[in-house]
Amino acid sequence: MMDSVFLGMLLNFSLLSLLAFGGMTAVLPELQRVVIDRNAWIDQRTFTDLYSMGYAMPGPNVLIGTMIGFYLAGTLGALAATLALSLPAATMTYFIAKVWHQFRESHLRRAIQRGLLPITVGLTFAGGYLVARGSNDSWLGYGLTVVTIGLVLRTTLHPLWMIGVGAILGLMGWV
Amino acid sequence: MSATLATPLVVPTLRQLFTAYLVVGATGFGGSVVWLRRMLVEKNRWLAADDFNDALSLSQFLPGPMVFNFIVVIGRHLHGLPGILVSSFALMLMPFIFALILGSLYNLYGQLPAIQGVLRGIAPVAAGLLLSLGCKTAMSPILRSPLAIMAILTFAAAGIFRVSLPMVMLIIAPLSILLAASRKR
Repeated sequence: MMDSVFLGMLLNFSLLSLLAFGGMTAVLPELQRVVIDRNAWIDQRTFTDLYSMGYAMPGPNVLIGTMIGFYLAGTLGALAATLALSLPAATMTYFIAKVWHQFRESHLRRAIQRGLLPITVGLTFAGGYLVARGSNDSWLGYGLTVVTIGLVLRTTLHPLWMIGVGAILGLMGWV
Repeated sequence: MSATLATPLVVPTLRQLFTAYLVVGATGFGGSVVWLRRMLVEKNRWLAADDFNDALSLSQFLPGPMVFNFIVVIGRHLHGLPGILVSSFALMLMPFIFALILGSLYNLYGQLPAIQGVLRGIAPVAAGLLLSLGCKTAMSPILRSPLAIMAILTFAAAGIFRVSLPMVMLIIAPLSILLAASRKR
């Protein structure tokens, strides 16, 4: 059970946990790099499938990691991936929460928060770009991506509706 | 957090915490700040609004899945380590089981043309949701400054040149923080 994929996932995901400034969406480019490019644990198509399911499924975003862990190593893999992605950061939070009130108003804290924001934004765009590039093999796919962006920014429509429409279009074989 | 969080208005028992988080998780709103606020502040009055916001800003500031960081701060405040363990277990229980079921179904039927079609239709929407999240965050006034260059640099490094995240954080983060520190606002 403790094969190299399992251990590799555990180590890589634990590191990702501590680098995930901006949450799970910000580590998506790195997740792809580790899982597809560097280790070839999963192919692009499957990664996109697992990612879409984890993201579309109601619940915390860490479910993306849960889905990948399950695909790689079953139930134990799902558990390991979920814990590896959340536990290191949560432990850090536990200790920082004790001293947080001392830093909340400090200049350094503000600089760190402001300085990390553009990085989170860049990573989120990179993640979206990679998912779009990896999944859209027709212009209609890109069109659907653009329409989704427009709907989220211009309307208050719930994302589940957009996911539903995407699923139907896909089922009909149009995307 | 004891110094910054005031005494809760009502102190929940561990069992109450478990039930409340289980429901929020099972109804699929476990990742949603709106629903956590509704549960903790409005419905049960376990937290004051200020304490909620405080915990939220800390958990967004630190790396990792936001909801678990949040639970660590809140759970610790309400019931110490047992509070954290009970809350996170309860929140994740149902979504985790859903993920196992969905994952099993995918292993069994994922290659069927109909299922592949559905997934192919969802992926562009997921990409769009991500990109619109990027747009929303990018609208922050903080980015109406030279710091925007750092966002573009990060996008190019991670998205186009596929530089590893540790490398991105090692090189761009110090530059970006230095730039942010040099600008007084």
